Amino acid sequence: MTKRQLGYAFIALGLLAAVGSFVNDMLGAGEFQGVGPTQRLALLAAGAIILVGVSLLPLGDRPA
Amino acid sequence: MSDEFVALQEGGEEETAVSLPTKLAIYAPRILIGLALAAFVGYFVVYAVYAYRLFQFPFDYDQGEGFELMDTVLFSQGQWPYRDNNAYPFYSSNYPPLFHVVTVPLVWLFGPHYWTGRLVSFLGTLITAAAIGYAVQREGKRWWLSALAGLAFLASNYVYHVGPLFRQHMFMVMFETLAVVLMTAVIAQEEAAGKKLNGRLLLVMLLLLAAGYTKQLAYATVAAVFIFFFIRQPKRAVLWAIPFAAVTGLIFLWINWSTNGMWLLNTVTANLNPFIREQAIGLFRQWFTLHTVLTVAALVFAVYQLYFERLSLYAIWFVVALLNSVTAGKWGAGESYFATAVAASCILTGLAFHRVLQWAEKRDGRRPVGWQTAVLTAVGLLFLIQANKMFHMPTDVPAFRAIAAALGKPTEVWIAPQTSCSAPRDPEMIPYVDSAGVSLLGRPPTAADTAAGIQIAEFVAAGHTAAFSEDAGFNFYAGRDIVTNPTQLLNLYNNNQVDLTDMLDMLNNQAFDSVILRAQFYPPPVLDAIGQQYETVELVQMNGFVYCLMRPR
Repeated sequence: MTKRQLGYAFIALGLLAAVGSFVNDMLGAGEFQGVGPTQRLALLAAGAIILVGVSLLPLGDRPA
Repeated sequence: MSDEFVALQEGGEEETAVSLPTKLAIYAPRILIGLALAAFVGYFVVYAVYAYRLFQFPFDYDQGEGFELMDTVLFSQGQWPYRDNNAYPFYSSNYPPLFHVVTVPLVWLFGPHYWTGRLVSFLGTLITAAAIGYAVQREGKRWWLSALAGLAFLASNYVYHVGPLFRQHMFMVMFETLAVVLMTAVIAQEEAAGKKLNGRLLLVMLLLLAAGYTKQLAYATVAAVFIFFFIRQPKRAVLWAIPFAAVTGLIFLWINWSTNGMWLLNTVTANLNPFIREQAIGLFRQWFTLHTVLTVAALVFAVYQLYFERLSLYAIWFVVALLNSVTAGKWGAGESYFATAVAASCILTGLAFHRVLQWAEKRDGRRPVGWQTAVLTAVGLLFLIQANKMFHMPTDVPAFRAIAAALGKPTEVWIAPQTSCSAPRDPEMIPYVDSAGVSLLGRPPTAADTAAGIQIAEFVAAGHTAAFSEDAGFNFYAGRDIVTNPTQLLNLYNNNQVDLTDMLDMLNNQAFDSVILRAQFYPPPVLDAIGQQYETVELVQMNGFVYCLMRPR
């Protein structure tokens, strides 16, 4: 696996985490209206994961 | 003596007249690293003393130890501990079997004693520390750095608290560490030799399986190993993951079939506890404060690997274990959930320091004083700072008390005994200090605690039935049935998975001659029935907890 592929994997993981935090709401698991404090933390973490993924893309074909 | 010290010494000897600053620069790192080694060996002595004193204590020190002893007793009799909680004795285990099965021979040989599982867990932590040391030595070849990395694990406040308890957690960490260290070595050997070592890889899989069947939490390490494997060899990782998942699943189904579904109910459903955000945040803060040097060094090295070289399994393991530590926020979880991350950080710190030393060595050549001196000094200082952050010591041992006083640490703390079923009590002096703050674990039990335990056991023995007790130890001591596993009942009650009818009938009919409460962990209807049918006749304090001894009204 290359650093670029690892970057894409991070981005996919981050997007999945962000979507997952909203699916949680749709299933009725959240106890807050709108974006709750735990959900906000989850979204921040998802954003950070996506940023790390993006920063890995320029490293190209170097082995991960 | 390691290379950099030899180089420094030889370099120094070449000079006919060495100036005092140069001499200081040569010897300062040696002194600092010597002091760091002394500090961590000291922590090991403290750990061994605590473990030895726990081995001698015949009752529950941590709530739940007695139930793990009960699991071991049931296995020693060829029975599963995953049972129907709705019928007398209303007991079931919520943990996988391996730790208890490993302890069974000791119970066969010596009987149902608390020291058996405590010894197994303690030995497990020593093996983990040795594996950490080996991991650093394999790459670093500096005995003192490897020793410091291994000893730092044993010096962690969390490992100290939980290591010598009859709990399966640290035994899981041992299997996890062995699996990760072996996997790293196997892949390195495969890449160096250019051939596949499937036999050794199979051993890694067995260690992962052992970790998972010691405690469920090992799933994070399994994930880390397969992520690493997938990054290095995607196709082979998938080919190994399929049989691994199949074997894990088949064992799961076999145990579930053998126990009529009680395995699934008690080890999975009963562990779906509420998440307490504040608990998770508090534990993360405490963990970082206690392990700052180890954590920062590990994080910096992991980030360095992410961008500038190939990711090691240790870096992936550390990050995954760290993310998984968020489960410490579950009700019933705690500090021990960070032990895997601590083990990973000890290895990464050792390797990170080795890499910096290697870099300094190349820069300096044979110069007596230069980057090597600076880096060695920094490493010694950083380990000393880490040792100071982890400070913990029972001060009822005169030598420890003197050391604490000499270091300017407190020699005692004042803590109010934990009460739940009785009135609050005034704080009292506890001869134990710990940077983790007020800790219920870590203070070695005393002769007074043993006497208190015997007093409670005699209270139970004065009746004719088993006690309805939150600790199993008193019934064990009195030779009575072990009745109920309170936290398990509460978990099942909160998930609507237990029928309390028979239990409430027995309590309402005062079928138990005694009830022993420590923290009122039972489900609310059970506590209501106890309150209506039983009254407190005596209060006994043991290990900083006030136990309520109750008789029928």
